[in-house]
Amino acid sequence: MKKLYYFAAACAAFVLLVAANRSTSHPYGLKTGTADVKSISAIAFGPDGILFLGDSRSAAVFAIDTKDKTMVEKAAAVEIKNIDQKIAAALGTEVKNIRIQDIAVNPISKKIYCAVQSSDGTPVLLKLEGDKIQAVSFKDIEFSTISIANVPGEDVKDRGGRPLRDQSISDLNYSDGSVLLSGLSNQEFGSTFRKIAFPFSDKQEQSSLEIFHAAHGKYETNSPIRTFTTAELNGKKYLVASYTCTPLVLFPLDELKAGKHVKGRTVAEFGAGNSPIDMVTLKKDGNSYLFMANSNRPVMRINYKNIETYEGALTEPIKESYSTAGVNFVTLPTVNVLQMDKLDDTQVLVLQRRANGDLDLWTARGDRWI
Amino acid sequence: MLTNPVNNKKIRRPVVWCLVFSFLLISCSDIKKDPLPVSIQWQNNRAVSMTIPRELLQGVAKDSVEQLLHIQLENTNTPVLGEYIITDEAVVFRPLVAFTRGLNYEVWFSGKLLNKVVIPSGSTHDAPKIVAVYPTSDTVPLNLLKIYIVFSKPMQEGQSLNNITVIKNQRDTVPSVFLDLELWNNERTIHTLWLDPGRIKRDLQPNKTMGAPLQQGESYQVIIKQDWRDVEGVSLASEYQRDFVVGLRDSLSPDAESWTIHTPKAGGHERLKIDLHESLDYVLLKNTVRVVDKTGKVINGVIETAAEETILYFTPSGEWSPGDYTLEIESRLEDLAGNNLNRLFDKDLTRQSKKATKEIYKRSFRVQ
Repeated sequence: MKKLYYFAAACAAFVLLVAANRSTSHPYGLKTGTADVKSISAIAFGPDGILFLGDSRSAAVFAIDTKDKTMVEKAAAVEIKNIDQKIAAALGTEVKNIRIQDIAVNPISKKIYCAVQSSDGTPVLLKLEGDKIQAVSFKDIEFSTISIANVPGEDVKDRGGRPLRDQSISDLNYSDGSVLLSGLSNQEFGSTFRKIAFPFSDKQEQSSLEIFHAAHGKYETNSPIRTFTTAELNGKKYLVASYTCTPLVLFPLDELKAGKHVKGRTVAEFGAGNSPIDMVTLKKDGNSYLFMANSNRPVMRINYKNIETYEGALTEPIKESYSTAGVNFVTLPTVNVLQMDKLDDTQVLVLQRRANGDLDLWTARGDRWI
Repeated sequence: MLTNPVNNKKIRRPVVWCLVFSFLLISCSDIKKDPLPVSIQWQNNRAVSMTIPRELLQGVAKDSVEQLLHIQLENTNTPVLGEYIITDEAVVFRPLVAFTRGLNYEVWFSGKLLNKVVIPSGSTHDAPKIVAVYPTSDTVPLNLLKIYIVFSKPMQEGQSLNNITVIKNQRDTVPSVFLDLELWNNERTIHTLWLDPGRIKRDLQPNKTMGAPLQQGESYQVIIKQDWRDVEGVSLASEYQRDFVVGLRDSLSPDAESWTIHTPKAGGHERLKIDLHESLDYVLLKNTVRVVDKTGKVINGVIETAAEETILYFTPSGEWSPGDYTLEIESRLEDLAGNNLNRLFDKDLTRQSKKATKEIYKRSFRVQ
C-alpha cells in the first residue's frame, strides 16, 4: 500500500514538473523581455494573438504575444471621427507630428491595433477599444525576432565587409506558418520578397527573390511591390501582389524559393498614375472578393472567380491614357482610403481621408460592398 | 518676589536674540518646505520625462497617484499616454513619445490644474543643413533615375514631397516628377528621391501620357523648403536651391573594364584613384566597391568620390603592402540612369543580351 502511495506521489510530482515546464516555454518559442522595436512599417496578425511587426529601421521582424485571445465572433461596428487628432492628443502632440503606418484587426478578439510613427522617430503600438486608446508596451512581453538585414543565405562572413543594406518594409502578411514580406531598397529600384517560417528558427530559413513582370510589352518593369495578399486559386496558393501603376500580378507561392527569380503573371492593369495601398478579402455566398484601396482611384472590387478564369497574361502595352485591362473589376463609391483590414467576416475597417480633410476610422458593411 | 533689574536686563537680551534666531530658523525651514517645481528631464535634446514632486500631491498614497494625476496637452482633454514611476519623493512621468518642442502641457491632479509646463522650441543655431545633393554634376542625363539629399542631422519622414519643388526654366513648377515612395537610410540622414520610373521608361503608359519627367536641353531648379524639420523639430537653417541642365539619354551600362586605376606606392597611405570616366551613383559607389588582397582579405579603408562622382578614391586604414590586389565591384552599381553593370534600366526584353552577367566584377592591380 505504501509503495502505491509513493508511486502516486511520484506521478503527481512528474505531472507538476511537466506542467511547470510547459508554463515557462512559449508554444511559439517566444521569450520574455523588452522588444527593442525601432520603427513599425507594417503589422499583421498571425496565430493565437501573435502580432508581427515589420521594423525597417532594425531590419527585423518581431513576433509579439498580445495575449489578446478572447474570442469574439462578431465585432461591433467602429466609428472614430478625426482619429488622427485623437491619437495625437493621446500622444501629447499635434497631428502633423504623427503618421498612422498600419492598422490590423486581431482576428480572435476583433480588437484594433494601430502602428503610429512619431516625427521624432519613436514607434508606438496602440490598441483601440471603442474610442479608448491604449498603449501596447514592448517592455516585459513575450516576443521573438528575426533579422532581415542580410541577404538570405549569406552570413556576415560571406558579406566580406560589405555594409548591411538599408531597406524598407512595404507590406507584411502571415500565411500558412510563414511571415511574408516585401521590401524596398533606398539604393536600387526594385523589391525583394521574403518568406520566413514561424516560429522563427536559428537557421533563418528565408527565401528571397526579385520580381520581374513584363506587363508593358517589351519593356521590363522592375517595380516595387506596394501591397499584397495570398489567395487560393483553382486549388493552388498564390501571392497576389500589386505595384506602382497598379498591375495585379500572381506568383505561385510554392515557386517562391531562396534565390529564385520568379516571373509573375500580370492578370490586370488598374490604371497608371496610381499606387495600390491595401488589400482585404471577403467572402459571400461561396465567392471570394478582393478589395483594393488606391492612392488615386476608388476602392476596387475584384471577384476571385474572374481571376481564376483569366488564363492569359497581359503583355501588350496599354494604348489609351489611364485605361485598364485584364480581369474585370468594379469601383466602389469610396475614395481616399488609406488603410483597410477585415473587422470580421462581414465587416471591413476603413481609414479614410474625407472630402473635408478629416481622417475617420469607420466600418464598411461587407454586404453593401459586395 | 524681588527682582534684580540688572540681572533682568542681562537675561532679556539673550532671550530676545533667541527669539529672533528661532524666528529666522522657522522662516528658513519654511522656505525649505516650499515644494520643488515640476521639472522636465532632457535626453539627446528630447524632453523625455516630467518630474512632479510628491509634496505637490497633498500626501496622496502611492497607489492612488495614477488615478488622480494626469498630464495633457494644453487645450485638449485627453491624458497623455505614458508610464508613471512613483517614488517617495516624486512621480516621474515618461510619455510614450517625448514632449513636443514648442507646445504647452498641463499637470492635472484631482480635477485641479496643478501646473503648466512649456517645452521650449529647439535652438535654431543648431539647425539641420543640406550637406549635399547627388548627383553633383550640373548636367544630368535625360533619364536620371534618382536624387540623394544628404542632411547634417536625422530628419523627419513624410515631409519630402511637400518640401521639394522642381521648377523648369525658372518659370513652371513641374508636376509629378517624383515617385510617392519615401526612402531613407537607417540614420535618416540620406533621402532617396526616385524620378517616376514609369515616366522614364520609353513606351510605358505614364511616359506616353505625361512624357519623360525631364526634357533634354532644358534647365531645372530643385528647391528644398526651409520648413523641412529634423527629428527634434528644428527647421532647416536655410532654403536650398540647385540648378541643373538636362543632357542626353544614357543608354549604356557602366563598364568597369574601362576604368583607369592609378595605383599607389607601397609603404604609404596614398589614395588609390580610379577614374570612372562618367558620373556614377554616389551611394552605390560607397557601398558596392571594395579592395581585397591576394588572400581575399578585405582591406579596410574609406571610399570618397570627387569630380562629380567620376573619380573614386580609396584611402586604406593601414599602409599599402607591396603585392597584388583586386578591386571588386558588385554588379548592382549603377550610373545616374539606373543602368547597372549587368543590365540597362530601360531594357528591351525582346532583345537578348549576349553579355554574360556576373555578381562581382573584378579588376586587378599591383602595388609596388
